[in-house]
Parts: sequence; structure tokens; C-alpha cells
Amino acid sequence: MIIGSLLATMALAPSPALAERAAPHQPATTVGVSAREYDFALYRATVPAGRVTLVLHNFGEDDHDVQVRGPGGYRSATSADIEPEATLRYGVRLRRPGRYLLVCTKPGHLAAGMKATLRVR
Amino acid sequence: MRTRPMNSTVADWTEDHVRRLFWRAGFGATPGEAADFAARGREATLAFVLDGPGTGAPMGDLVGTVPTVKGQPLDPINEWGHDALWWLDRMVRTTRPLVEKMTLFWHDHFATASQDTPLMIRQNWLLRSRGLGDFHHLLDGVTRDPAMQLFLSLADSTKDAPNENYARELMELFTLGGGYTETDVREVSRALTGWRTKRSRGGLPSIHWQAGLHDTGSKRIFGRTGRFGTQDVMRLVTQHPRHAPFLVQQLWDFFVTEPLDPATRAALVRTYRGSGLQLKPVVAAILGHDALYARLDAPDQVKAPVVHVAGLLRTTGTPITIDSYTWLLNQMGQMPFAPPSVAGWDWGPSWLSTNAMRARVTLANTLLAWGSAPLKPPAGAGNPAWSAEQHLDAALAAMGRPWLSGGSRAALLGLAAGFYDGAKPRQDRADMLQRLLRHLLISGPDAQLC
Repeated sequence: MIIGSLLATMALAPSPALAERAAPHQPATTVGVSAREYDFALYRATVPAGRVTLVLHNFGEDDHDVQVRGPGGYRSATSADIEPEATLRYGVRLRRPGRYLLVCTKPGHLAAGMKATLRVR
Repeated sequence: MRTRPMNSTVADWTEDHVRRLFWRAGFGATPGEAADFAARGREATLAFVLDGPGTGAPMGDLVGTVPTVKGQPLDPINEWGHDALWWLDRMVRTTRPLVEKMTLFWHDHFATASQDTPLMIRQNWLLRSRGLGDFHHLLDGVTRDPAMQLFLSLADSTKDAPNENYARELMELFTLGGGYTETDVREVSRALTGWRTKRSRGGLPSIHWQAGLHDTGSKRIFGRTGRFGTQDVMRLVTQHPRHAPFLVQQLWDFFVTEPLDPATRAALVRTYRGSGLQLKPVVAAILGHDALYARLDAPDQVKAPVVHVAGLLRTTGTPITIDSYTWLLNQMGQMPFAPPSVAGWDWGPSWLSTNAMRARVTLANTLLAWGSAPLKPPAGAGNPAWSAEQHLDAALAAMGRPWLSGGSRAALLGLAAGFYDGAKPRQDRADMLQRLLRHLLISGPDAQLC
């Protein structure tokens, strides 16, 4: 019985190969981002134009989200809510070089200063 | 300068001594290391552990396969969880395991969490670079460290609104463990005012001194009066009579499970104070002490989760190629860079809760599925003609002959003897028995101890 349970749980080990097959061909630039009341902090200041994956972690006590605003009136969709202690991967395509702003669209958060600058070259 | 360990009465020096030392001061010994350093002798082994190979980077070089996840190099700053994998890899591949073990000790001692990854990694390098040096220098660095200042609200503590968090933990957890008053807490917090947070355009915080925010008035700390500032506080707490006994006890408990007797405590305090608060001579004395080698036939220190994982990878030559260790460490109760509170983790038997043990079994599942050859037995690893003893011996040899108690040996032999249960022994069943035995050798009770 014990051996049977053990062999059964051995089958539960995740398959990295499956995850690898799901990876996109063109790697995006990953940017770590922290969110808390009422700040974003970006772990990479500049990225090349193209696909960018924001890896957002909420260190705060409230829900947050993120929207990227940039040159030519660019606005990304708003991400899903990020709960406290949660991490969200959020992909955007930033084609034009320039200065982009990450903002939190929760009521009052941007006014409280929840934004940060990402440069695209 | 080489550090000589404290004299000891350990008469002989065996592979069991080497394994004990390498696990307590690092992340285990390979069979080759156990044999090699048993032959080199006690003094040479201790000198190697304390000082490293004598060549390469002071904080250790990384040897072996560079870690990857999904075929890509780690990105410890930006990818969530890669910071833990980055440090785990250092533990696995470093030429100076004691440096990483001391970094782990200080990460628990100066526990900091919920801060931006670049700041946490910066603090980690601070702990690594000063972890075997002068404690005063280390404490000064930690006090000015942005992650610590933000975690314990020392940043932005001003003369008009001094915050007591850091002052209290500085004395209670970092240096004294008691022997101070509430007045001392208030006065130390005044003395530590003046540090200010600034944010870059990207929002990442840094810490700056702003003299105008510092309380320049007179303070009374531990019965002494002066216009004390940050440097003065560092001096006052490290000169306090309770500091040296407190710190040597913390270090002893990290390495040794035997109680610290009064005579040894006094000797360690003398070593610490006599060296001008140097940490390496104290660690040398502890690692050379007979008590570290007590009951070699019955290890009783519970391996911390990260020590267990790093040790398995290190002693089996398994590089990091998957990110599963991140969530496994979390489930085992020790996510690096995320201690549960300023008091750090609860060490010892509390690592072995039901949930944590289940995660250790899942770790064994993962290693058998994705690990290197010793952990992932190839087809033909077993032999249908083998006896139970031969099966167990083959599994032990493959796993580097880890310590096995008499009770566990009997249980595994019984398992091997009854495995076929009347069925005809076949190659696939023999291989399955090898998988099972190797699994139990790393997930069973004995493997959790060192």
C-alpha cells in the first residue's frame, strides 16, 4: 500500500519539457516589477523595442493592476488584478522607442503616485 | 592568513567526521571528498573548510554546469523565484560552501523580506562578503542596507517621528537578546534618525543620509550620555557585555546540536572579544570542537530545506535545470529571500511538519524524474539476480553512501526481500526496486538529518 502510494505520487512530478514546448519562439524581455501602496519599482530601466513581459509582484496590502502608456497615445489593456503577495506575468508589445509609463488604474492610485518610467530604445 | 581551529581531542579522523563537518559547515560531501579529506587529516580539512582551496575568488568560484530553466540562463533580478535558484546554485557549485552557509546564517539572523529583488540580492552580497569578517563591520553594513532599512522602517525615521522598529530588533534579535530598557529603545531610535528614501524614475528605492532629519540632541543609552549617532550605536551595542555571549550562542546553535557548556562559552567569548569581534576565529573554534562530532552514528541536526536540496544536488552532481525547487522550497517551509518574519525561521524539528515532509517526498519524486544519473537510475541499474543486500548496496553506492541507521537498513532490506512478492524477478522490476530504494534513501527519515 505504502509502495503503491509512493509510486503514485512519484508520477506527480511536473514536466519541465511540457512547459518548454509551450514557450514562444521570440523571447520577450522580462522586466521585474514590484507594486505596493503607492509605488511601482522597475528592476530594468531600459528595454529594446518589441515584446516585453512584466513580472509583477504585489508586496502591498491592496489589489493593484497595471496599464502601460506610451508614445503616440499608446495604451495597453489593463492587466488583471494582482492580489497581495501574488505574482502576475503580463505581456505587452512596445514597438516605438520612447518613454513609457506604467500606471495603476485602481481609483486614486495613480493620483497617489503609483507610476514608473520604462524607456524603450 | 590561515585560521587555525581550536585544539580538540578528536583522536582519529574518518570519513564520518568529514561528512559531519561538510554537512554542518556546508552542503554535504561527495564520496570522493569524504575519502580525500579523511586521508588529508583533521587540521588540513578544517583549514580547507575555513579558508577554501587557497586559489580563486575570496567568496568562492562556481564550478560545474551553469544553471538553466527551460534552456535559458537564470534571470535572478527579473524572473520571480530565480533569485532563490541563483542562491541555491551558489550553494551547489561553490568552492567555498562555508561562505554560503554563513550567508544563510546571516540571512536568518538579519531576516529581511518583502523588499525589491535587486535590494535583496544586494543585501545577500553584503552578508556573503562580510559574513566571516568583523561583526562590527557587518552590523554597520546591515544597518545602512536599503532592504533592511525599508523592512524595519529605519528609512524615513526622522527626529520629529523616530521609528523604534529597527532600534528594538537591533538589540533584541541582532546583538543582545535582552539587557536593555524601553528607554534604550527610544534613545537608540533617536540616535538612528536621518536616513531618507529616494526613488529613481523607475521607482527603485535607495537610501541617503539627510543630516537635517537627524536628532542631534543628547541621548542616554545603556547608562551613557552623548550626542550619539549611527556609528555610536554600533559601538555601544557591540561593546555591551551581553553581546559576545549572545552572538557565540547563536553561532553555536547553528552548527552544533549539543548544549553549549559554560567553559566553552567563556572560551568562545574570549576568542571573539580577543580578536576584535572577528567572526572567523569563533566559527573555526566551533567547527573544531568535539561537540560537533558527537554521535556520528546518530546524526541529530535536521537539515534545513535549502540545505537538504542544495546537498542532494551538490553531492550527486546534479545541476539546476528546472525551476521546481522554488515551489518545493516554499512548501518545505524555507523560501530563500522570504523569511517568515524578522525573527527568521524556526529551525530544528519544526522543519519536519507533515506538509513539509510531503514536500520532501515530492522533491525526491522530482529528482528521480529530472535529476542526474545517480538520482535517475538508467535502465539496467538493477539486476534481477541480486539479493536484497546487493540491491541496497547498489542503491547506497549510487547515492554516495549516505548515513543509514540500523532500523532503516533493516526496513529497506525487508522491502527489497519482499519486493517481488512471489512474482518472477525481471529487469524492469529490478530497475523499479532501484528507483524505490534511491527514493527512500533521499526521502526517508535518515536523509533529513546530518
